[in-house]
Amino acid sequence: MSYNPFELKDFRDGERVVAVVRHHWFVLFREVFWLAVLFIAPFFLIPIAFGISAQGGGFPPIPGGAVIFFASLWTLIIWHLLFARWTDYYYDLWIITNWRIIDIDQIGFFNRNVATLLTLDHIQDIETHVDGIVGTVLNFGSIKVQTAAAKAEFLMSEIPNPVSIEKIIREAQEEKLRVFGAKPEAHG
Amino acid sequence: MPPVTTLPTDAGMIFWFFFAIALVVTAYFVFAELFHWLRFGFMYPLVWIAIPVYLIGIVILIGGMLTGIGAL
Repeated sequence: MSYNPFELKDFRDGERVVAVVRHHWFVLFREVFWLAVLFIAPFFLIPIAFGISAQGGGFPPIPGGAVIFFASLWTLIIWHLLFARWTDYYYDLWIITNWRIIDIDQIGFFNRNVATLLTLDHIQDIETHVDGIVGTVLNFGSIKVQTAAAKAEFLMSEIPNPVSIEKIIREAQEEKLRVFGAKPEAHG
Repeated sequence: MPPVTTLPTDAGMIFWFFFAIALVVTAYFVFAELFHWLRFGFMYPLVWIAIPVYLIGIVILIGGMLTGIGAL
């Protein structure tokens, strides 16, 4: 029986996990950055609003307890969102085995798709894309795989070092031929 | 308008109302996060670090809210 660290369904004898691919860390950083902006916004905007209105004899100063309360409440909301985003990032992954590629897609909390995208013998062509300044500097991009399967292509987006992942897929494809033979049985 | 350093006594109800909503939202997030983290923890080892960090943060922040209400 093969070692099945991710408890994947239909794991076959001789199948092994070759690589686990997540989105590049910049994907998480980008989300955390915007959460950080959201977090600090009220701490700047509310004093500014109070300052402007106080000049016109507007709002009175607020008690310290209310400041502590709302600061804690706002931080708690951002805290929840931060961990929700992290879970979404951390749970989203592709597992490349020497038999197939599996896409685990975590969408929100209670929507989790686990799909075998293709068995490796269906691959016809692999394209890698590194787009933009950030992608080029940090070396992340996407891989588009053309397949002979019913679903003609699939995309691994914003993954680190797409060229090396492409190489891993090609090597896994060769390994599949060695381990399972040139004409493998139908997936299932 | 003269500065107000304390709120009217019944204003505390508004804070308790927000506090109750925060507890409901927190209960949802804690359930959802822990459900996923414990269910798939074998695949994702970092969740064993995330669980105590997340829960300690929640306790501190709820404590902050209670401190704020207490200081009104």
